[in-house]
Formats: sequence, C-alpha cells, structure tokens
Amino acid sequence: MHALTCARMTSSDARIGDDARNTQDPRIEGVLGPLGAAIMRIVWAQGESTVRSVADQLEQEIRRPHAYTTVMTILGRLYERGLLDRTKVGRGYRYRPRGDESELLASMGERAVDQIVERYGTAALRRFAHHLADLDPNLRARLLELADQPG
Amino acid sequence: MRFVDRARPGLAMLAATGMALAWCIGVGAAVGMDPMLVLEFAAAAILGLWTTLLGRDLWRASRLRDRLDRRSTLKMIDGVAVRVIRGGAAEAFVLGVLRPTVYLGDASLALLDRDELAAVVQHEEHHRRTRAPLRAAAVEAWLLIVGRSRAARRLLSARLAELERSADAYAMRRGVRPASIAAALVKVDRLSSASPAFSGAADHRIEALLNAAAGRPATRTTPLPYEWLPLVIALAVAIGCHLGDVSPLG
Repeated sequence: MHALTCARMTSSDARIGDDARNTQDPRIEGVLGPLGAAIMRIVWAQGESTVRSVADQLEQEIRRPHAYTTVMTILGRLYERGLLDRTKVGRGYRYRPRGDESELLASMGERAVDQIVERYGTAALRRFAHHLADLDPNLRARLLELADQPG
Repeated sequence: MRFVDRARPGLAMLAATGMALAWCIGVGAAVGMDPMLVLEFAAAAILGLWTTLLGRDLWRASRLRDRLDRRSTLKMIDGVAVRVIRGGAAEAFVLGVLRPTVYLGDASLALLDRDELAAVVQHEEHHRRTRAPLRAAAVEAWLLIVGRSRAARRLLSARLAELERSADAYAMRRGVRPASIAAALVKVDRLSSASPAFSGAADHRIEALLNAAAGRPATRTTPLPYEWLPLVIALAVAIGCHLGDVSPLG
C-alpha cells in the first residue's frame, strides 16, 4: 500500500538531495543520531515522504537495507519530537518536515540548552541578549537602525 | 532618588554609618534599653533570607555549570577563552561564581559575523572579569526580598543595567563598534528565549549604546554597590552600637 502511494524520487529530487547533503551540518547527527539524521535529510529533500520512499532512498544512499519497521519507528519518533507533520493516507502516513535544517538546529539547540538552564534556573548567569520586545518602541527602532549600519 | 542615583558609594556608606550611630546613641539614651536587640534580630532575619536565596542560586549555578561543561568544548575566540556548547542555540552568557566562564551556543558561530562575535565575546569577558554572575545573583536575591517596593526595584534594576552598560563599554574600549553590539543583540534576541529584563534595565543599556554610537559622552555614573550595601549597613549598625556600649555616651 505504501509502495503504491509513495512518490518515487525523480533525478531532480536526487540532485536536491545531493545538494542538501553537500551543505549538511554534522551537528544534526549529534541531535538526532546517524540514522535519524539521514532520514530527516531524506524527508527534507523529498518534501513529502512515506515510510517506503524513505526506506528506498536510504537503501540507495547507504547501500544497506533497513527494515521497513525501523524506518517507520524513526519517522514516528521524529514526528513525536515535533520535527515532522504527518497526514493519514490509507493505512499509513505521509510525512512533511516542519522546518528546514537551520530552523531545526536553532530550535533543537535552544530547546536543549534552555531545558537545562530552566531546570537549574539561576540568577547567577548573565545573558548577552535582553528581551528586546520589551524595549521602548522608539529605542527599539533606533537600535535596529544602528544594527543595520554597514561595517 | 536622583541623589541616590548620583551619590558616591563612600558618601552613602558614611551616611548609613552615621544614621546607625545616631540610632544607637539616641534610642539607647532615650529608652534606656539595648537598641541593638530589634535591629540585630531584624537584620539577621533579612540577611539570613538573602543569604539563603543567594546560596540557592549559587548552588543551582554550580549544577548548571557541571551540566553545560559536559556538552561544551573550550575554544579561543577573539582572544577570550569560551566554552562552546554543542547543539546550543544562539546564546551567550557567563556562568559561575569562583571561576566564571563564558559560554556560547554553537549556533552563535553560524549566526554572527566576526565583528558581532567579538562584540558578544568581549561583553561577556567583562562579566567574567568582574564576577558579574555573583553580583547579579546578589542583586536578584534582594529583588526577591524587597522588589515590591518601587524605589528598591528601581535602584536594583539600575544596578543590573549598569552591569550590562559597563560590559558594553568594555567591549567598545577593546575596539568593538557600537553597531556590531547592536547587530549582535538584534540577531541573538531573535533566536534567544532570554527572559524579560527588569523594567527599564534594557532601555538604559540601549540608550547608552546609542549615545556611544552618536559619539556623545557617556553619562558618568558611579552606582552604589547595592547588592553589598545592606551587609555594610548591618555591619556598620552592629559596630556602631557596640562602640556605643563602651563609649561614655552609651
């Protein structure tokens, strides 16, 4: 069923995948683990994915087949972590990424560090950034103007 | 308030000591009882609470530091030793009491250009050198105790703003342009989840930055070390009253 509904990758899709891998950030592995990162990159390249399309692409890329259920489990975990959206299609799901790679890194890093900082919340910490949203609007506008000055 | 804002620490401490002596001599002579009793109990209770709050923060800071050290590596950036947090957001902060350390989320390295990174690192380096985390923890412990008073809140948040202003001034003395600090602030703020600053504290910092960018001389401020002042006053009161005990007036 999944094989019937999945969109096969075209050669242009594959090129997109290659481009994405050329600019890939190794920190993704640190956040998602090697297989999670590989699967996430495939979903980014495909745009919309099914378990079958991801499993096929994974086999092409790393020349090692992964069980359909393994891919399904990891996609499910990525969905639970809020990195993917999914819609029910027949008996399976179609997955879409919720943001690009840089957004993922920013949000994952922020979440991870923030969770630690929140857990051990302390006043004995000086952050560089203030909450600029609370600034006087006039000051904020002048700050943005200053920030835009060329170096 | 303007007097206190502009007063010199020495003058204010002298005034506090004078008031303590006046209390001891005046009340001791008029009532004929030990004027220390009420003052000592009150001061001990307040200082005990403050010390507990401060100690809690310092303990948390130590635990947080342990956690962050495990996921960070030491790097030299713009001549400053910085611990770069793996998978960290665009965050920069100084943490630690005895050995304050500058921490930088690795997303900052991708987000900021060289000048902006120097601005962030030099700003934080000043906090590290001046043990700003300890001072900030002391101020914020007082804010928890007396923060309901608008006057106290204003004084203490001015102290927090001063910590930031002096760190920006240090960065500028090290060759960082105000525009680079502003650009870094805007970029980091967009991705950061920094908690809201105390009312007005951020405004004062940005005003100082804009003045520096416009070439206007910085307003000379010599803010009182409010975080330690109550300790000094309590000591002055205790010493003053005990001196009163042995003086011919006591």
